[in-house]
Amino acid sequence: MSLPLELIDPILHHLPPRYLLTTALVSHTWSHLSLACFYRSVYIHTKHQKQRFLEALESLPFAYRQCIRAIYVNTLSMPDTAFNKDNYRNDLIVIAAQCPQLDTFILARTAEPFLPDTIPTVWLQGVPASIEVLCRSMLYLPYIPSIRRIGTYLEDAALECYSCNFSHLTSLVLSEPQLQELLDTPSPQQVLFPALETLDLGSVHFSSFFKASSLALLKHHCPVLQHLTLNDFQLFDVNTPTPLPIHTSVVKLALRNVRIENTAWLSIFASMYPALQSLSLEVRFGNHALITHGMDEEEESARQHQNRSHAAQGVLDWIVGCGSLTTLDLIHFGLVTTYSEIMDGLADMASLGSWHCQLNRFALHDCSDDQELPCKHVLECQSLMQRLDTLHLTLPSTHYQTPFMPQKDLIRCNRFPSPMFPPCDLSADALINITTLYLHRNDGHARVSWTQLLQMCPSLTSLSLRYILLQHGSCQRHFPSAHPDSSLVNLTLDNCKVSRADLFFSFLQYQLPRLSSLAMTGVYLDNLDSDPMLDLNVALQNLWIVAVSINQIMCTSLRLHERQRSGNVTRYTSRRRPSMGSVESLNEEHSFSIACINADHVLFNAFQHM
Amino acid sequence: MSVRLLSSDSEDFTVAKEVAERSMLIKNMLEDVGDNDNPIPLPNVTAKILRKVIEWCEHHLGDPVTNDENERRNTEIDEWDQKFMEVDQETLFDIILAANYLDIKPLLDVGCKTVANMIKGKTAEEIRKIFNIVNDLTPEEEAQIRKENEWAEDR
Repeated sequence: MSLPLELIDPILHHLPPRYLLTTALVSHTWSHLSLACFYRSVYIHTKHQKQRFLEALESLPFAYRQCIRAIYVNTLSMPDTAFNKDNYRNDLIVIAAQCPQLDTFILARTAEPFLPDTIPTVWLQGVPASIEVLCRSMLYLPYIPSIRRIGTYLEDAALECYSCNFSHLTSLVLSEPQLQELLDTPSPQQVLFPALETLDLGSVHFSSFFKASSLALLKHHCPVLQHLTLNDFQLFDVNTPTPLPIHTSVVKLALRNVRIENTAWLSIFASMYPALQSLSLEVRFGNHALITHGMDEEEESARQHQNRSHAAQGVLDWIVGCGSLTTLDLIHFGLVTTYSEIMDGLADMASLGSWHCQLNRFALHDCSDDQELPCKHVLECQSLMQRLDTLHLTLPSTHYQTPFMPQKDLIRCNRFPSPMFPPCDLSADALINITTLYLHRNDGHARVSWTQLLQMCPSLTSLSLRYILLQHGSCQRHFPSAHPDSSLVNLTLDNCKVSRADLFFSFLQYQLPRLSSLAMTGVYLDNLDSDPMLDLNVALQNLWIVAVSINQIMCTSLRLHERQRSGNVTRYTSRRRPSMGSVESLNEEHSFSIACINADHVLFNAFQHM
Repeated sequence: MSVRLLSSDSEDFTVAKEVAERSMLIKNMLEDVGDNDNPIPLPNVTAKILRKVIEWCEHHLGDPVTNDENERRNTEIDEWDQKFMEVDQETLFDIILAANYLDIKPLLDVGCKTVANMIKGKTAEEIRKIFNIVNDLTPEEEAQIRKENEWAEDR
């Protein structure tokens, strides 16, 4: 029986873009429907691909150009200049002229194997270390009438072009002067952004001052705002508007690199946004550095200490008072002691029952270089962890001497007490409910024992490791079982080193039957045979291989063996090679072979920053 | 409370109201006619297919409803549904057509995903063979399509 015509379109909508280019070759009808579907969302991963796409736009039939609704550019593999130099202006003019129906334009950088259209959600759910909106500089975006979501800063002139569209925008990035100018102009009755759900505010000149009255005006002009992010501000004096407006539509608030000089701001936030479900804090507290002459050093230090405690108390009151909070992301509080005070306070209050903790996502970024895992007591606090399924930890780093240490893989806890994650002395059920785990280190590497980790987290389905030295051995005393089977579905390695990749490969092959997403960016795989094959008997949704080295040699091509393709091998080779690097390593091709049943989204790049 | 449904080949089915209301079409009809003992005629669905559809609706009665397009598209087919969809191709298409007509979005999704999985990894020629499609593209047109979209394969 042939496929009824009316079913072709809904079926194509369930096919990943990769296959639509094949279905486009089936017949006229299939071709038209496939390409219409393919061009709805355009994903661009490299500078070269961007160039080719812009060229293709010139000759692409109007029927398909008008299908383009969204353009997502993942700049992970691009040099920082790809969209920053003068030439981007022309690129964007081409895009604007050729894509009349474009409603979303987002530049982002992510190593996660998520489709870029999930970026705004991911970004706000507390994965700040791995995803960042790239364009902090102002972008010229020509007028595109149907645009709804703009994920980059715009030049003043470009923003002005969009003023007639403000009532339709659902997502926007604004600089503080731009916001002030907009707030100053309208008549009091006019509502500037009636549809805006996501607003990202940043100060252009680092550390602009921000006024509480601006937040009050935001409530009026963005009545349905849900996600608010403030970047790089200094919160100084408070001229609290009375009565303080209450903005109940806001459910997510993120303060990034914000300096709070006056802790009254904490209670302002708490009262203005009582319905918060997600809170992300990367803040510093000023010490009111008005050193009075004659005040002796001891007195001054005592005063500063008191201020700090005051700040920690303010943060605690805010968190504990917000009953709707399910996601908490504590990145930075300037001083390690403030951070510890807050962590201790949260654990204490949760244990004593004075905080009825409802968190299901918690991110702890301790920036100390302590050798011990500083948040251990938080992880062991049952009343805090009981509902938690997603945990984001920044680990203390290892100042290891030899970067590759395969010979020392068998770890005894008394010889390598720390910093190893998970530590032997962490209580066995601390991470038992965790399904999604992010382990990050911002610089240097932290050591993680793969075997210990999976024994500690039996429910784990998603694991993301960044700047991790992944080891296979485990402490025989505390983690006796050899290889637990795992229900892991998503695995992301970003800038990691795997010292025993041979064991790691066989683990991936035999003990992860549910794996559907594998991403490796900037990963060193050591101790492999000369021509290794990662043979996965699973259907992969995402396969991202960017800048992977095997035995310290960069892989310049990916050979993908898909069983559904009757033995065919798809070869991905990087087109351009960087000018740096020795000549001999460039002449020879080093392949990374992966076998699977099929892979829906494939990204391969030999190098980062192409 | 139960509802009577009449298939195109005049078989009468009695199902619980909440099962029948998985179909937006039937739900809207019920709202329009109010309480009524007459069977609802479904002229586009045979008894064989309607029986399958009711079986699916009964099994998925308690499912939460998601309106999030992305979430619906990205969820995997569960084991029960995979078994359920192990039927000959004609029946599979009929189930999808019925889900489309009756407006049962989750069933339509499962059906379309099942067919989409049959397409994954196949060449254009293999796809034509599976679905009995005649290639009406000239070699020149084919080359043109390849050329236009080359950028996406490129990196």
